[in-house]
Amino acid sequence: MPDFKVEIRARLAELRLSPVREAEIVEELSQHLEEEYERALTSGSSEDEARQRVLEQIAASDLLHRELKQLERRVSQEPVAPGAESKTNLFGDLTQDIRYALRVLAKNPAFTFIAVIALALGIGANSAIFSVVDAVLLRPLPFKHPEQLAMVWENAAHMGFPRNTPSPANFLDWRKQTQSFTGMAAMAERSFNLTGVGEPERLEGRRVSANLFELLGVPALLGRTFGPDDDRPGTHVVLLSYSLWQRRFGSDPAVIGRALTLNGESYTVVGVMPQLTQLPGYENVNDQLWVPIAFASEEAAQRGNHFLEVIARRKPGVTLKQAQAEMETISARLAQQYPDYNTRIGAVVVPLHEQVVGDIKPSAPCFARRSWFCPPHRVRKCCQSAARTRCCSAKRDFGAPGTRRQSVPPRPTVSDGKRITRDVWRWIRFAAGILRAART
Amino acid sequence: MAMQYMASPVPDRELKKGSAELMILSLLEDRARHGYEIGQLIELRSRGAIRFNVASLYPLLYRLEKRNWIRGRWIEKAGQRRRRYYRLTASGKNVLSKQRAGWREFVEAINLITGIQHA
Repeated sequence: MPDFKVEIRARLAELRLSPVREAEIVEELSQHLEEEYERALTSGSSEDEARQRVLEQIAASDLLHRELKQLERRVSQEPVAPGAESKTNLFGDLTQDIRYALRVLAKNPAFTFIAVIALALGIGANSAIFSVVDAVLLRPLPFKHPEQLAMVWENAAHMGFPRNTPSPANFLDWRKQTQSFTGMAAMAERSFNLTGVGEPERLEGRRVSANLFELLGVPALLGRTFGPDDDRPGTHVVLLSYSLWQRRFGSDPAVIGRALTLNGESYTVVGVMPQLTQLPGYENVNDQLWVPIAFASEEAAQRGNHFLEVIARRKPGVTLKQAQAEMETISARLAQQYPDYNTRIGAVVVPLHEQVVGDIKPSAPCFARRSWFCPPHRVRKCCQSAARTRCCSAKRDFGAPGTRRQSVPPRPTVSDGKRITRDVWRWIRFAAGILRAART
Repeated sequence: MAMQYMASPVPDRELKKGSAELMILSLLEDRARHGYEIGQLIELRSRGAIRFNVASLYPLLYRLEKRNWIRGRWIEKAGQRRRRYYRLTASGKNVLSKQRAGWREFVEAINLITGIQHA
């Protein structure tokens, strides 16, 4: 059987088709000519006569060349020097890349499985982290004009406590003397034993100044918040959190006015706070209930007992710097008045937003660097190297269209796999850490 | 479309040129066929009056494929080398239907004018 492929290829040479396309046309046309040749032999022609008759179909004119020239797309056959930039076709390259990626993934099911798992974990972890970042960093605090709110701490930096919890007497003096704030409220953690309603339960809560919720601009969902009359020793009223009201009282609106036994004493429920009302503080405590702080006279006189968290709202027009300066002046005055307790004790005003996100904000670049960018890069690198080592030779053999010269990464190694595994594990630990931090 | 005619009477070159697409689409209506089979069927059914050579048949097939009227696919059957089979696409079916109707009207009009039908 004569080799018609050489004849056909010679007539296609000037068309400069892509090697793949040329190979297809040569194969198809040579099959046709071979059948014509066999048919001619069957009809009694000699081999030479049969060959001549068949070749006449393509040799007689440049018909084939003319017809195909109008149809087929030329590709640049100019070699690209290593390191030189070849002309790029954005959409053509994209299509080629997608086909290339799908082909490689289909050929390597194990690798595809690992890559998909890695990507799934990565996407899941990033989604979880983003939901936390969104809730903590991006959304505004759920208080009225949160930019005016600030935490006020004692500054005992010389003792290693730059943000120390103030004592009741200092707080009361601050509140009395300050002109920069419209209000100042104190909070103190306290645990309560709830009895008399189903199973006894230990609940975390806080004693708070009666003006706290008014200061924050958070009204009660049911009933009322505390009033000035509640902030006196011996007044036993309580505000329930939304979650406690749902869980222990079945969202019963009739809970208002009901008596609860807390730490063996009777408290009257005066209100239920809205969902997601969590107060800022030294630690993110998931408060279940609140009672008035109601300092007793002995407690109000304490300067050496530091256990309060103080939140204040700046007056409109007063800058943070001005508020800070005034608090330092007041602290210096108190240091002169009460040198036994207040020498070298200052005050520091921290914007509420900074107080809340302060611990997480430095992690943001780390989160971006570690979780978002690195693993996909490694996955992509691994995909590229795995694919290229397997396909490059085939692409060269068949002359894949528009083959782009790129730096060819090394073949994926065991260490690449280890790196991906390590990155995935880091994502999981990082996400778990963030979620744990957010939960507490 | 260039054609080579082997039998007499030889149909006019231009006349056949306009019908080449219709012939190929018609042959692919029932089932997928490879190029050589299409060429053979045209020759057979025209009793040798019409014959495509390689240089004219395949560019025509590629043109129809490019228009998405037919689709070629390499198929490997047991004991045979792989071959490229062409089948009619949905778009090709529509075109075939329209070309048939148009051709029929054209032939009837020519017949009315030339009186061939009543001759």
